[in-house]
Amino acid sequence: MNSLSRVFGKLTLLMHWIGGVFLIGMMFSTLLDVITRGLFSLTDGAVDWTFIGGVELVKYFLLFTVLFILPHSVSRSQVIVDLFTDHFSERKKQLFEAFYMLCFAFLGGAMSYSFYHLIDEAAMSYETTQDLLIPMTYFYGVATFATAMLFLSALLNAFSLVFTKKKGDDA
Amino acid sequence: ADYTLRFAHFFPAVAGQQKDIFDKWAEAIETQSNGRIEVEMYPSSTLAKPPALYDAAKHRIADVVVTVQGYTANRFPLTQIVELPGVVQSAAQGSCVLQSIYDEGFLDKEYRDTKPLFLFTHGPGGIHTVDKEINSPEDLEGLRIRRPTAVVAKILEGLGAQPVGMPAPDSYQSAQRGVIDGVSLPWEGQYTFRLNELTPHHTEVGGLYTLSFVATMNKSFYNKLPADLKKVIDDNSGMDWAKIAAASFDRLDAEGRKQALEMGHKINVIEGGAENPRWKPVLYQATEDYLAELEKKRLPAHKVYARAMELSQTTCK
Amino acid sequence: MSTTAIGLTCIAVMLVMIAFRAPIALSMAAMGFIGFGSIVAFEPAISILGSGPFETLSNYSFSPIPMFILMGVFASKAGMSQELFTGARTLFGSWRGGMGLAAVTSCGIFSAISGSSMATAASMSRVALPEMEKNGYAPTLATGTLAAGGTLGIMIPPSIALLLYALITEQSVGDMFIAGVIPGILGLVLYGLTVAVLVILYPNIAQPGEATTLKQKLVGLKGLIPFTGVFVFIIGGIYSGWFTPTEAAAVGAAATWIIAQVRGMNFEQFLEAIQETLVMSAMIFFMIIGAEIFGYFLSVSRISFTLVEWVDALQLSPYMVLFCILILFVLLGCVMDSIAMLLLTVPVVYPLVEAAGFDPIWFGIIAVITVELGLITPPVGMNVFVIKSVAPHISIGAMYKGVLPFVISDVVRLGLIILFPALAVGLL
Ligand code: NA
Ligand code: NA
Repeated sequence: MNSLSRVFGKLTLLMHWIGGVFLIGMMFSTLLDVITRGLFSLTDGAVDWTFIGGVELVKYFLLFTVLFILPHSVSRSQVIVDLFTDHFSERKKQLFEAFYMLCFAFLGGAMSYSFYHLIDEAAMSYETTQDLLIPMTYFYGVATFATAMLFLSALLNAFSLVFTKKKGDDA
Repeated sequence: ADYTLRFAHFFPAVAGQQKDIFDKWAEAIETQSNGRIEVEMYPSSTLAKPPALYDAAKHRIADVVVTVQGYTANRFPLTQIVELPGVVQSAAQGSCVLQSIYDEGFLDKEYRDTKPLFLFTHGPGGIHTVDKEINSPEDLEGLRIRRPTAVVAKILEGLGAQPVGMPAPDSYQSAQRGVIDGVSLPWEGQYTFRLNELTPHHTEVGGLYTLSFVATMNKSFYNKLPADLKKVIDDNSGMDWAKIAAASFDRLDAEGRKQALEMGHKINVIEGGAENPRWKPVLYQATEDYLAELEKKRLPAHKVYARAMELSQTTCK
Repeated sequence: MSTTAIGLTCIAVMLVMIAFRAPIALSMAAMGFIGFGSIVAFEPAISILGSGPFETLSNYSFSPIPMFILMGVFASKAGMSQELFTGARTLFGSWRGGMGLAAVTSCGIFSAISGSSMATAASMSRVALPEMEKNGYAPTLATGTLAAGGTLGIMIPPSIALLLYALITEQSVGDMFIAGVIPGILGLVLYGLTVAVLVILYPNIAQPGEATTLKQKLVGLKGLIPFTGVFVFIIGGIYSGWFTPTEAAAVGAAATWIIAQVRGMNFEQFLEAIQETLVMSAMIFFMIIGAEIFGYFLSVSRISFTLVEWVDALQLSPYMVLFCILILFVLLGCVMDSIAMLLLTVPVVYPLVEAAGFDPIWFGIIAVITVELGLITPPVGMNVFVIKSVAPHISIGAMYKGVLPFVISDVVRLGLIILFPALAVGLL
């Protein structure tokens, strides 16, 4: 169980860093858009390196960035109100957290299920993005994968919270 | 009420379309069903974002939605033939063409996921710019123009402009900051999105383009209704309602145009519209490209286009 | 159970979950899902779990959030934030509230241009919070100024909230923006006064700096140059049309990245910056997704309609109607995101406001201030949550306590604008 979740942890960490690459991609695609547009108007249209779809690139970079960081972050990057439960024992807090991780696993699973159906539906309807005309089915495919990883990550976390007495450090 | 019908769209609640079309339809359904169907309105995308509206009807997040087919690119390629240059001179004409083509069965495949109630178009789209007056396609060279859909983007590209995709409510701020030089919108859109405040130059190219809309219902919602209530829905579908919707758009177009004139703006009317010799070649090319692309996918594009033109010049004129 | 009863139950359960250590994002998403499922059906609710997050995450207007966070992180890696606050400290010398004032002002300006309260709270608190804590500011005051400061930009144009209000109610966007100028600045001034009053009443919440001479102050101004430079660059770029407010975030991130590289940031620090940005973005977007799903549930619960119907049925005098509407906004603001709230409530209350004979533009300003309050009021105050993601060591309780004086300051501002409508519509 422990080695499984360690290997899995490495996998979600890898996804996390791929999310980082998308983040940088988001910055560069905006810059490219701004700079080519600037050059175009500075040179009165002589230097036309402008391209169509800048907004779309940013949109989908954002989507991928967040989708890829969700599995690694589900147990780490959460905002919790600690006002009323300070007096709880560590074990009790751990069990609560395990329950909430199970809920996340359920939601992640349901999301993945929902996206999985959209893959086929989008393939049948030939829907594409507006500017770059990329088939939507790819996006749903990626979303299905990322949310399935969210499901597994939350589930494994719930288990390790229940079965290890001390909070496991699997970063 | 025995049935609650959730009606979702993206127009603001105070928009003319709400009063003229959607409220009227809801009222008709409620009275004719003797209150057994209750209609709940969800304006301003409070139940689904514009690109997700059609699927919201498919998955019963809403029971009826009104949406723009072009918001989901390439999903309604034959429908969007109506949007091509030269087909539509007014919302009444466009709605009649679109509803007729649908009634004649040309578009059945595109709507097999839901049960369409009625289809319509807005009036002719124009070009509205911040600084530059547009008289011929050359004037558009390099201008950044906000476009509604991929099909309109192709037309604008053909004219030499740079189509920019952005959500309609963003166009106000973008035009104000000079990020875009203008927008392609019908007068009704100029009015709804307050763009007359920012774009003093208007160019009307009769029949430049239009946008198609559909009011459509979730299939299982319809199938579960008893026969007499099904009839109420059927009685409030089709051409009659396409015409009511069109009348609203034509009225709002007139209002938007009036507003611009009252603000002292100049409206540049291109003689002959899309048939004008300086505009026709590029517009013709954009049309041909679009149709050829569809034919490549083995869609009967030329057939539908020919029928649309025929309707537009005869029955729907 | 009636739709309203389901609605209220799900809100209550969500609050209980939050009180019992459930992640905020989970509480909203889970109760949104269950609520939507119970009112409509569970198959569409599962669809919403797919389409809701997909539409939210591919929403262009959210793209500035990670970019502005990245900018804040690079700024602190480049040492720019320390400089900024050392500069402010020398400038304000021995005056206690100096840094608080500097924080409120920079948050106000930042959110005014970025147009995003959450992005402001995220990046400014990353920059300012460690410095304020280092300089002996109480966590309450430090987080309070940062959370509240970020709300100011909602009113100061360009403003998405005012734009939406204008579109919903068919007012001129230009007029709406002009009407927002004085109330926006008034908000900033009142927040500044709040800081001043707080440090007078509770001297120990802020340590004074050392007294400085005029010459030292002038030299100290140098520290303000790099960060102010980036600020001016961004504002200038936006107003001259080189890039949109949305794009400004990426441009600002790139600019601070370059400065950080020039100042010798190594690859390891670069990776740290990316990592920090990803962690904060994950926290914020988890909550945004949760709020989105919860928002769809609130829509179908029709709670805002039901409440407005109640108010309408009471047949009150115009000012009582206004009072009830504002109370309603404050209550909804406790559990709702601001933009969703405008979209859901304005169309339903607007007829009441018109019938009561109020100026629609004036009401818009009042509505937006009230909606803005919701970002910092407990239990669900998105700005406070965002700051919690930067400073996990400070308790939410302390943060809400720190925000309270600013909530009072906003209520004062509301009162002033209600008493003197010219503050809003005088420039028109
Ligand atoms: Na602003
Ligand atoms: Na709140």
